[in-house]
Amino acid sequence: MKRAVSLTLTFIAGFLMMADFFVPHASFRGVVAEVRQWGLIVVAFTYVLGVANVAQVHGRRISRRESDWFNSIVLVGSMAGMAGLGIFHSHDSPDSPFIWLFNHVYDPLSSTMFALLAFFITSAAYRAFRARSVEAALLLGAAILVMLGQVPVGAAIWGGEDAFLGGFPGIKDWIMSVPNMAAKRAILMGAALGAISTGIRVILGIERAHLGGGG
Amino acid sequence: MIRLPGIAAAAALIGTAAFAVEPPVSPRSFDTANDGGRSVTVEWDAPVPAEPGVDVIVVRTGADGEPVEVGRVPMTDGKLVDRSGADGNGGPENGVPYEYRLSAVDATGTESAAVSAGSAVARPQLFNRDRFNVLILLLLIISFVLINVVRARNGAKFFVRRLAPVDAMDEAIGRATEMGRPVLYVPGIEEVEDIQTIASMLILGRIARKTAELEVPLRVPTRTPFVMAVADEVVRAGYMAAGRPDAYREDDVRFISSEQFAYCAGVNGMILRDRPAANFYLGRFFAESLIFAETGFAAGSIQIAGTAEVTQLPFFIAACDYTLIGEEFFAAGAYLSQDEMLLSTLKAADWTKVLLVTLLLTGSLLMSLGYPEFREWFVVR
Amino acid sequence: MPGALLRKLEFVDRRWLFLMMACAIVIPLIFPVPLPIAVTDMVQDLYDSIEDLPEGSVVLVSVDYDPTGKPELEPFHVALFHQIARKKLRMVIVSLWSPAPPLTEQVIAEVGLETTYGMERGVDFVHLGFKEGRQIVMESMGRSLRQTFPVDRDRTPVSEIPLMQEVDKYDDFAMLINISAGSPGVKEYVQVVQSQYGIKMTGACTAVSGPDYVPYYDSGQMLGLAAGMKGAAEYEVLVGLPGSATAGMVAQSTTHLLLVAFIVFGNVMFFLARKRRS
Repeated sequence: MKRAVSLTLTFIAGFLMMADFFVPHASFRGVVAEVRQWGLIVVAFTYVLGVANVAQVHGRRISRRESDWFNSIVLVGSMAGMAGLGIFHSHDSPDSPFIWLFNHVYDPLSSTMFALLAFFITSAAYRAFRARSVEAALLLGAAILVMLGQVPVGAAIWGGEDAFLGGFPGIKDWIMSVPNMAAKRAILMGAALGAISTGIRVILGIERAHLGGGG
Repeated sequence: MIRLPGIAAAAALIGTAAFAVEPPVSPRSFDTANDGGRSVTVEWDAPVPAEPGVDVIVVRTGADGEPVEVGRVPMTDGKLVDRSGADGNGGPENGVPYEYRLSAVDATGTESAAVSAGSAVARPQLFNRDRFNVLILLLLIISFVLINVVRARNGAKFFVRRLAPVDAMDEAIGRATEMGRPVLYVPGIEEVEDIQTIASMLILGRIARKTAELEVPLRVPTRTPFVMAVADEVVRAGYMAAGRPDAYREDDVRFISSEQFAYCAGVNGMILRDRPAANFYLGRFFAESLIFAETGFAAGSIQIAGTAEVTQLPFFIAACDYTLIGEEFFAAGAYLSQDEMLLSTLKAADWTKVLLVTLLLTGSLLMSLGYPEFREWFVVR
Repeated sequence: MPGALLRKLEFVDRRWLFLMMACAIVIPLIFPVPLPIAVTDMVQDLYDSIEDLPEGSVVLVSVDYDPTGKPELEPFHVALFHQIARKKLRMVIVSLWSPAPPLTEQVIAEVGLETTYGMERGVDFVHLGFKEGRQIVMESMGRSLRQTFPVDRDRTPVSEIPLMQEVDKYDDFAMLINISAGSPGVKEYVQVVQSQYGIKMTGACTAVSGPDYVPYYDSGQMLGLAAGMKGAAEYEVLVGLPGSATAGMVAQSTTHLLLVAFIVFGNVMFFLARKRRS
């Protein structure tokens, strides 16, 4: 019964969303807009679930003094602190504690995590760009040409209007706009077909793995 | 040339000066097509020669006889759509005839004589005919799916080429069993309505069943609470299907943070502390993809990734052991099940691909030969 | 070369790589070397399209990035506000990303819109803040901006804001400028807004998304595009205010050269080791 209800709801919701693309009638659009609003409201409620989950998981760690339980105190404290400041304290002015914490704690921490990419790209490129085969050699050759064409120093080494093929920048532009674009479009088309196929499978109830077990 | 008597000539001059601005030519009004109603389109042609800086004022008169100015746009626009605002007020009512009159006004405020654009009635349409081409294609794809489902029911077998990353999933989970370390499953960072997240949930169900059978802990950190709720259900059902509901631990499916890099830091922490033997990155990812993959490599995990996010594929390919690219990721769920009904939908996708390639080649040939009309059939308005 | 040394060099401890990369980033920032930056057509067209707007025109600026997008997009954001202020254009600022409004306020303060350029909040520019809803908000703005944002970021009702009495729909704006770090962003604005309403559109995006959006520039749906830090550096050159993007290009150059060197070195070691093994 539970499965039948889930499948029916899935079909109705999927059909409504597909039909919305074709039916401009205001009454029908109103129904779909209402369903979308319900979705937004449900999503908003799930944030309560999320906060409860964080509190539960880390509360258990703290109470059982599991390994690194101190980090859990910091996490729960930060969550409660930011939420409290945001809800109970004004955060309109740039000097408010909430905005101060955002600018001086969240902003730099976020940027730091993002900055790790520069180092990880280095280690990944050093490890992965080895000419083990013809395809790998083509990959690393293209990577080198694009990296040099992307920066001013590459244009300084070999570039300018008179350079053959436009120098590094010209070659980079060609690689990005011709073979890269062609491959990307092919992948996108394949992915779009895969997405359509998956969507139809789920809407028609052929695929049921998301309802549990093996489908 | 007609010579006018003196006084008549003077009067004609005055008349011309009073209406020095030419009104719009061939004005017409009609119900806006393919819309939800409460909208009328008014069109006109600019007089020749067109004067610069001239606007057109459109006035609507209903049954009550009260004229309402509905808009003022440059003459060169050629069109104005009289529609209701977001609050539902201000536009024409459905089913009510309105008269539209247009006049031109120049920069000095001199206005031309008003010309009638006739009467129009706004009505809502049930179907957007501009999208008929999309409907045909969609129905074709659905029919391909249904045909192949029927073929599967009748016992047809479908060949699907080997997908090395999917074959490696069993191996990866087996490795985790031998090493006594958990399996990490990251379902992407998008919301549950994203098709890649849905595809990830389909695979998660099967992975959960396998890990339950082999008694391997499965950790699923999520970026949104909604995905956490869905993943929780999926994993729980997977454990039930394996006959091991007792082995399921609530804390294994958890919400980390809805901020992208806070989530990334949390997952990295899990990888470095728990040292999972196998990491699955299946879903939609952005900048955090390489951070996950490199951290997993440092932790010594075997890594299988899958995404349709083209910008992140290169990072996964460089840093992971196996990568499902684009449609392979969507096919993985069906491939894992080895269920003919599901594999039949992959066949339908193949048929659609053949159709698309045929259309592409035909279109390219026709465009090259100077027949661009074919392309118009595929424009989505 | 001894086998052990060869093996060590073939699989260098990545911490040495990280150290060298850190030096390649930090040293040029401390000791900057001026590098000529060639301006591409895409960025030149972006700059020109804003320059061509008549004084007093109102532009809609959608700021859609978070702190992680700052290095690539904030320099463009700063230069954009400078150009808008100099041209005496007026602007309405909205955001579809929740972390964006505080970043916008930082840029407003840094550029000195009110202090240096004497622009008046509410008259010359309005910051409406963030609205949840992604594409739904984009569609809603097309019907009525005032209904979509009934109050500005400081909770002032839009009915009390002079600039908001002049604009309500996309048609009322001379241009849409989107600063986008991902989704929702340029792609969604082109698909939902530009194609439907025909508004002139330009913008900036991260380098990784640049190739995806270039077709929009090629097709004319976008009048210009500044992709990544490089695009921002080019734009800074045009505005005449070299900033962090221009400085960052030097660091980017050295890191790219270093990466190329690592790749070449790694392959040389790989082939030497393979030769030794065979």
